[in-house]
Parts: sequence; structure tokens; C-alpha cells
Amino acid sequence: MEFEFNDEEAAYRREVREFVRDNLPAEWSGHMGFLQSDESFEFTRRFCQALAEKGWLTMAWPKEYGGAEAGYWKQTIFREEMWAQGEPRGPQYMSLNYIGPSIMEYGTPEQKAAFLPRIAGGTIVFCQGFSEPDAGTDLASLKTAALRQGDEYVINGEKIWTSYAHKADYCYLLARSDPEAPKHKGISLFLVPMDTPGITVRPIRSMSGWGDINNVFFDDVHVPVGARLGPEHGGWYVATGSLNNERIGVARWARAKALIDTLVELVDKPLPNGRRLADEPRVRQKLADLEISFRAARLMNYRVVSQIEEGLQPSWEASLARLHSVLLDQKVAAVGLEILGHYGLMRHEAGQDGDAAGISGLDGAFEGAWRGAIPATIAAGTIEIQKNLIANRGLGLPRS
Amino acid sequence: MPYDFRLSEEQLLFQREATRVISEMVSFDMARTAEDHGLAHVMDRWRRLGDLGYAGICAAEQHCGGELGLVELTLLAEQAGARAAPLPLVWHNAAVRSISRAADRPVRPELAAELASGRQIVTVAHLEAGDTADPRSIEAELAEQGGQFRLIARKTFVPFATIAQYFLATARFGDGYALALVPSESATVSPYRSTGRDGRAMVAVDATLSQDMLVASGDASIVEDLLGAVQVGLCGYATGASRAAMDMAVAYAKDRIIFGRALGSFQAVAHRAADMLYDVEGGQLLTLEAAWRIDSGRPAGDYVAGACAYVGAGSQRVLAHAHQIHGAIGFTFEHNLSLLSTVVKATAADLGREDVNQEKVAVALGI
Ligand SMILES: Cc1cc2nc3c(=O)[nH]c(=O)nc-3n(C[C@H](O)[C@H](O)[C@H](O)COP(=O)(O)OP(=O)(O)OC[C@H]3O[C@@H](n4cnc5c(N)ncnc54)[C@H](O)[C@@H]3O)c2cc1C
Repeated sequence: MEFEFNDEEAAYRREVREFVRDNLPAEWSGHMGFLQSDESFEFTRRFCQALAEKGWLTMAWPKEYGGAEAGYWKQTIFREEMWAQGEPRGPQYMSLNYIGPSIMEYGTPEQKAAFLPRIAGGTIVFCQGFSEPDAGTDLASLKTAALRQGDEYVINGEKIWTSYAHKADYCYLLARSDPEAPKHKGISLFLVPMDTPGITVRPIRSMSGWGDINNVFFDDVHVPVGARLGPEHGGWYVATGSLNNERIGVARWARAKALIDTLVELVDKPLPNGRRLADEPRVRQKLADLEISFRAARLMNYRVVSQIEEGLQPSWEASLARLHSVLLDQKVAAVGLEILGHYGLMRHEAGQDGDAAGISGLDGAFEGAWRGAIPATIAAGTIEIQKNLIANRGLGLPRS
Repeated sequence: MPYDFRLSEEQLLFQREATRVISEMVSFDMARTAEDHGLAHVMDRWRRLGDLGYAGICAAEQHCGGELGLVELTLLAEQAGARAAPLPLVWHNAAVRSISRAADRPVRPELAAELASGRQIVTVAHLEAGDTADPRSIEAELAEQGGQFRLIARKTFVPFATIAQYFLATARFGDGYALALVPSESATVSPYRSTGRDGRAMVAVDATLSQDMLVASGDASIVEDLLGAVQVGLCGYATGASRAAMDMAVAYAKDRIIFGRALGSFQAVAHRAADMLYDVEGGQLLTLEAAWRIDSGRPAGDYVAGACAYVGAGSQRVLAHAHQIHGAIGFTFEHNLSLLSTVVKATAADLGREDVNQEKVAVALGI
């Protein structure tokens, strides 16, 4: 048994952490990042290019695609450091975690040549066009049509909740190519340039403001047959492989830990009235409970990492790990806001006048964490679906 | 009957009328307007509600009040909460109640009437840097100075401070406490940018007040009575908001078809709905009991604390369930659920930390 990183791994973590710290702009808001503004989006592009120059961006990829074949543990350390600092790679974590790997697996030589070097160089941004108004959890009932006409597909339909669509260069799009076939068997996957005529993006305002999610309309959008990734009508299987990678690739626990550490530091300082929250047993217990939940979530995720490193295919273990991570995210935000009271509700906006206790140094970290954690249990597969999977595959209960 | 959960005829009438008026006058778009343009843009509704008597429901008749109790305030607050109304209904009514009841030190009757009719807005300025409701943490100081009073105070997170004409401030006064009425011109108001659409600001005061601005003085109970009124009102507000969220989620679970069947037919969803009802009903009854105890002059401190602990945590659980049932759509600004979500979160901060409230119940248990 071993429950610790070795010296080399620890040194690598320090190196990444310092690099991130030295390269984040002042407007970057701590643990939550700050994707809302155009400048910070442009920053994430530059940052990914800098990571590529350091050889870190796709270090786990095979050498032939510009990677360094680094082990999964090293990659995990890297992901942890990224998430702990608000994911300065921006939307590109998607291309790195699953879009690139699926192009490696299913792409034609032309597709590999067109996309992989750009992903590895940090110069291309994808959005994921899966969900529709009537196809979320029940994704296979999607209706957006991609009908073959000679050596083209003509795409018509509507996608929704598409993160970063307003900024993306390409859409990783799931559409129905055979309306007659059973629902899982008539779907294909496409790599569609977002500047193709007929595509309209309507940003949706959400609880985290503008720009994180969008409505995307496809109106007679023509793409060549070469835009299809993987077998015709076999897109469902390409996509579900991607979703598995999406679910395990996000090191949420690392950001939770950063927030826990922030809280610990805060309760230790005397408030203006001389009180120290750390002296209150109930506050201590709440923080201890957060730390224990964090440790459990990290172990659950590390177990999945070790399975992958051993060449095994994680199943319910990945769902359990994800369940721990997303619930931890919500719990840390909730406890943080409870302990910080009104101070916690202050938004990201430096130096607020009324901040008597000087807590605005928090920069809205917990208010932002609260809003950011609401969709944690919804996006990328809801927790109900994870639980169904755990009951079914982990415990052998019949499918509902 | 030892326990009778029925509202009286008059209370039923009040509830019915308040429901009708609030649903006609308050829309969710008010919360959106307040978010984007500030509270001042929705105050025309406040004035109309004031004209109808909803700004002074607990004030005495001679101050143009409704002479009703806190049970009625919670019923009204429930309706306001159900629409995420960005209105000072609870804070203003609680403050006016204290002002109107200060029989020994009457505020000028014209001013009391102005406040009870809502033409002037008054809010409660209580919290200070320590962010705790406990009166013992008050540092604001009121002192007598040649027939007048000097108040020095730094009040944090004062709700609706950006639109109020008066602050009812809590302060130390000699060996005890006082409630002092401060005109907004005598204060420096520094707004916060915080979640909640309720005009929070820091209010700093160093001013001389005329004698009739001392509303009450005495032991900590004068502060506790004011805060008790605020808290049961806010419990009603949060309960109304969480019930509305539950209703939305249940309607959605009936309508949305997924995998060829109604979403609510999946047990995982149905159980979330049942858990929501559990919290909403529990919170409502505890709130009504606490309000009734105050109205009937019984010791109520631990009942108010119990309601705050339950509603504070329970209303947040309800919103979490409602979000989950709605999937992505509930996260959008266009969806009313997101508006309810914010007010429940913000109100929870006013109701206080769960364990602090639980501690008050523990003390009442004699442990
Ligand atoms: C912030 C955010 C970003 C997103 N980004 C993207 C993106 O970039 N690209 C993209 O394609 N999509 C994206 N999504 C969409 C996301 O994948 C969907 O929201 C998710 O799949 C759920 O679908 P839905 O919202 O339609 O909810 P529904 O599918 O309608 O589900 C509603 C509720 O019912 C529950 N439920 C459904 N079926 C069952 C069942 N059988 N048993 C028990 N409970 C059930 C669900 O768990 C959920 O709680 C994003 C969503 C959010 C919130």
C-alpha cells in the first residue's frame, strides 16, 4: 500500500503551482476563475499555448501526436493544480480530456492531421453540442438532423446549454443521421466549424451571468462528409466513450481543498470584535467534516486513476468518484457561506466600501463557489444517473 | 382544542386578500429589474402596497396601522417570498411595529403614520462587524447630551439601506439598550455588491438625534423583540419562496416527458418532491408557532431560534432539490427558480448559522 506521492511527483506539483501562480493575471479571481470577460478568455488561449511550450498541455498523449506519454498520475497532479486555480485552461480542458483522445481513436488521417497538432498547441477551442431542449439525460432522443446529401451532410436543429459556443472554433456535435433507425443507432458525430453559414449562437443568461451557456441553432448548415468523426450512425458509441472521459477528468476535489484551506485561514483570524471563529466547537466540526469529505472524495478519484494506470476500465467506481466530487463541491460552498454569513454573500468585486471586516480579500470566492456548484450535480450527467449506474453496475440491482 | 391549526376568519380573510394583492402587484420581473437596475426602480409597487395598508400591518390604529400580529406578517411574507419580491415588507413592518408599540416614548404621531403608510421607508440596522444577531455584540453607543442623544454606530449589511429614509438602529444605552430612529441624511450609506437584491449597505452614523427619535430603551429584550419580529417574518418569506420552488418543481416533474414517461414517475424524483414537502410544511408550522407565541406574549426566544434553524437549512434543501429536478433550465436567469434560489440563500444569512440557533434551543432545554 502507498498513500503518498513521491518526492519527484511532489516537486512536479510545486513546479506547476509556481508556474500557474506566476502567470495568472490580476483579474483572475482565485479559485473560481473568471471566464466571463473577453480578456480572460483570450488569456486562457495564451495560457494554453504557454503550457504547450512547456510540454505540459498534452503530456499524457502519445509521442506521435505531440505528447510525452507521461503517466496518468502526473497528469492527475497537473489537473489538480489547474482546478485549484480556477481552471486557467478555460474550455480547452474538454479538447484535452476527451475530444482529442476520441479523434486519436476514431479520426481519419486527415482529421488527425487537422486537429491534433492544434489541440496540442493550445490554439483551438471546441464546444460540446450534445444536449437539446428535449434531450438532456435522455440524450439518445436528440432530434437535430444531419441528413446525407451526396458528399455533404445538411444539419438542422437546435442545441442548448452549449458551454463556450460563443467563443468556440469548432463544435463537437451529435446529430441524427438516420431518422428511421432505433434511437441509439441513427446518430453520428461531427466536427463542425462554428463559422459555417447557418449557425447562430444565442447566449443564455444564467445564475453565473452571461456567456457560460448558449443556445445554438443550425439552419441548413452544410458540412462535408469528412466532418464526420467515426462510423456513420455510430456516433452514440463515440460520444459515450467521450462522456466517460469527461466525467473522470475534472479534479473538482482540488478546488474544494483550496476553498477549505481558505476557510481555515479565515476562521483563525480574529474578527473586528475580537472573536475567533476557530474557537467555536461547531465551526471546528464543520471544517473537520469538510476535510474528511475532501479526503474521501480524493481517495475515490485516486482509486479510479490507479485502475486506469493498471489498464483496467473503471465502471461504477468512476460514478462513485464523481458523486463524491460534486457533492463535496456543493457542501464546501454551503458550509463556507454559512460560516461567513453576510460576508460570504459579497460578490467578486475588489475593495468594497462597506467591508468592515476586510474580508473582501475573499473576492467573492464562496458566493461564486455556491453559484458554480449548483450545476455540478446536473451538467455532464446528473447525479441521479450516476446513482442509477452505481445501483445497477456496482450493486447488481435491476435497471429501472 | 389544545392545538388548533386553523387561521381565524379574519386571518383567512387577510391571507386571501394578501395573496390576491401580491399576485396582482408583484411579478418575478420585479426581481429581475432590481437585479439589473437597482431597487429604486421597483419602489412604485411598494408605495401602492403601502396605500393598501401593507406597510404598517402591526402598527397601532392611531398610527394608521392594521393592529395585526406577527402571524399575519408571516402570512404576508410567504406571499412576497413566493415571488422573490425585492421589497422591504418584513424589515419595514417589524420596525414600524416596534416604533408604534413604544408607548412610553412616542415618536411624533405624524412620523409614525408616515412610516405605517409606507410613504417613508424604515429598515432595521442591527448587525455590526461581528455579523451576529446577539445583542451582546452591539458596540453602537447612544448617549444623552443636553436633552438630545448622540449616536455613534457602524452597522453592517443593513437591508434596503439604499432606499430607506430611516434606520431603526440598535445601540447600547447606559447599562442597557436602545432603539433609535436615524434619518438617512444623518448617516453615511456605503452599498455592498452582494447577492440578494436587497439593497445591503454599511451604515455609519455619528449624529445628534432629537429626543423623540429614541424609540425604546431597556434591557436586551427590546432588541430581541425587534429581531424576533424580523426573524419570524423572514422565516415566512423563506418558507414562501421554498414552497413556490417546490410547486414549480412538482409541476415540471408532471409535465416533462423523459424516456417516454413523466419525470415525476421516476422514484428518485418523486422522493425529492416528498422531501421538499417535508421541509416546507415543517418550516411553516414552526414559523407560525413562533409568531403566535410572540403575538400572545409567551416566551418565544427558543421557538424563534428553532424556526430559524429549521427554515434556514430546510429552505436551502428545498431549493437544491428544485434545481436538481429542473436540470439545466432552472439555472437560467430567465427561469424564476433562479430568482427564488438567490433570495433563499440570502435570507439564510439573516436567519443565522444553524448551530448558533440550535444552541439557543439547547439552553432552553436546560443543558
Ligand atoms: C452549466 C451547464 C453547462 C452545460 N454544458 C453543456 C455543454 O457544453 N454541452 C452539452 O451538450 N450540454 C451541456 N449541459 C447540459 C447537461 O448535460 C444537461 O443539463 C444534463 O444532461 C441534464 O439534462 P436536462 O437539463 O435536460 O435535465 P433532464 O434530463 O430534464 O433531467 C431533469 C432531472 O430529472 C432527473 N432524471 C432524469 N431521468 C431520470 C431517471 N431515469 N431517473 C431518475 N431521475 C432522472 C435528472 O437527473 C434531473 O435531475 C450543461 C448544463 C449546465 C447546467
